[in-house]
Amino acid sequence: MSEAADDDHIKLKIKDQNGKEMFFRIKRTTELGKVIKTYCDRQAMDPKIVRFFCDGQRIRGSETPAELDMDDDVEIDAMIHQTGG
Amino acid sequence: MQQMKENYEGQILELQRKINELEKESIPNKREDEVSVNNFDDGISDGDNIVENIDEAEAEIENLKHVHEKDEAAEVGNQRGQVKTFKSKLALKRKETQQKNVEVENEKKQYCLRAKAPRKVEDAKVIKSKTLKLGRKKKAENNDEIIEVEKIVTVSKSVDAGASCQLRNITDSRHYNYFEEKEKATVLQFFSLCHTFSNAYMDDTLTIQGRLLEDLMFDKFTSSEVIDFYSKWLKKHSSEGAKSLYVSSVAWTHLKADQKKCVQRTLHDVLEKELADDIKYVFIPMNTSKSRHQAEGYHWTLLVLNYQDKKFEHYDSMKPRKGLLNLSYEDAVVMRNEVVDWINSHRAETKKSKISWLKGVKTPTCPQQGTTYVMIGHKH
Repeated sequence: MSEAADDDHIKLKIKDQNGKEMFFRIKRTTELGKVIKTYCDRQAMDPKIVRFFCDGQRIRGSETPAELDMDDDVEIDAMIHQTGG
Repeated sequence: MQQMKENYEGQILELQRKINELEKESIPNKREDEVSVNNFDDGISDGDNIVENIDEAEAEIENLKHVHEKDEAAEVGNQRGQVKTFKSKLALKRKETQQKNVEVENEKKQYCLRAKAPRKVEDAKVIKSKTLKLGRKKKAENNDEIIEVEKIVTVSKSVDAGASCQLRNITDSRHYNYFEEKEKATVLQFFSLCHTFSNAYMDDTLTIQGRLLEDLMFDKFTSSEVIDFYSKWLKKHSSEGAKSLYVSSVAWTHLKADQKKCVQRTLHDVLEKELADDIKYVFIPMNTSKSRHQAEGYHWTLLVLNYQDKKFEHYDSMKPRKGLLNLSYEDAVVMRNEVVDWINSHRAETKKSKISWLKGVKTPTCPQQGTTYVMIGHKH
């Protein structure tokens, strides 16, 4: 694969609380909301109750990897909303 | 559509009934005519009046017969014509109803398509400040229409079905009466206008949705967001005498899930930035799961670092009986060690004096949750 194509795309890893991982490959200019939606669809989860963190910072669906200055092979942590009594 | 169809079907039945009647009528009419002609013959033969010219009479009779036959034929013809016209009308009606049926089917298909189309979830207005302000009333008209169609066509395809619904009546909550009068009005307005996924509060780190407030007000599970918000509020409104540090309520969950960068950000960075020597307390809310590898939360406890006395205290409003495994306490010990390790290493890096920590985690007595209301958030 050419270098130009590599620059356009990055690889993402989403890791959930139990250590289960899922990989994505997206364009730098694609909104992360798409990834989040796909991930939640695959995991059969409601996107509204899951939070995503990149380097400990919360990710919003409207942001893109370019905006967040993400590197290749970046790791995203998924976490279900914590509730308790 | 359904009504029109029924109307048409009713009309068809009526027409068929009419046709049957007419066909029945046309046959007896013929017989009656014959009988009357016979009677006429009899009358002539049995009559007292002598007809001089029998031939004339016979001719007359024949004429009459002809007239009768003609009339009869004409009548039957008329009736048959009527039947024909009715039949043609019937055919027309049938055609129309078929067309209508096709239309109905088409419209059903269109409705199905529309029902399948994804619905837009409109964002409600963001509300700031402690007392909740009004959210924008959502335009629910379109949604309502589609929901109705779904009911009619019975398409249960939508994933979002019932996702965003009206909040419960806040006046039913037993906590409602604790609000001040001013707050009551805004809270009431929020609960009457906003939906479960409307945002009640939003800033760069927190988003509190209506459903979380509903859970809070009706003694359901307390969300980490609500606790974080309360931490923030306390920090903003704390008296200057006791400086406190509030750690995010998800820090422990990140630590448990071994999400290192998140722990770094939510715990270490906060401690590094804000743990000055004059801090009196560090509050660490912790969520304990029922099992170690469960992502779902179960119970909130509070770990407090008394930074002046160098001791940790763990407040648990639902302590298990003696002899049982205390998961919350074990979690607290792990968290304590994490914090102690970090502070020690940080102080070593910055060449500050070592701290002689008091060993272990104390468990002071604190109010216990009743069995009736198990799900009350534990906060100081």
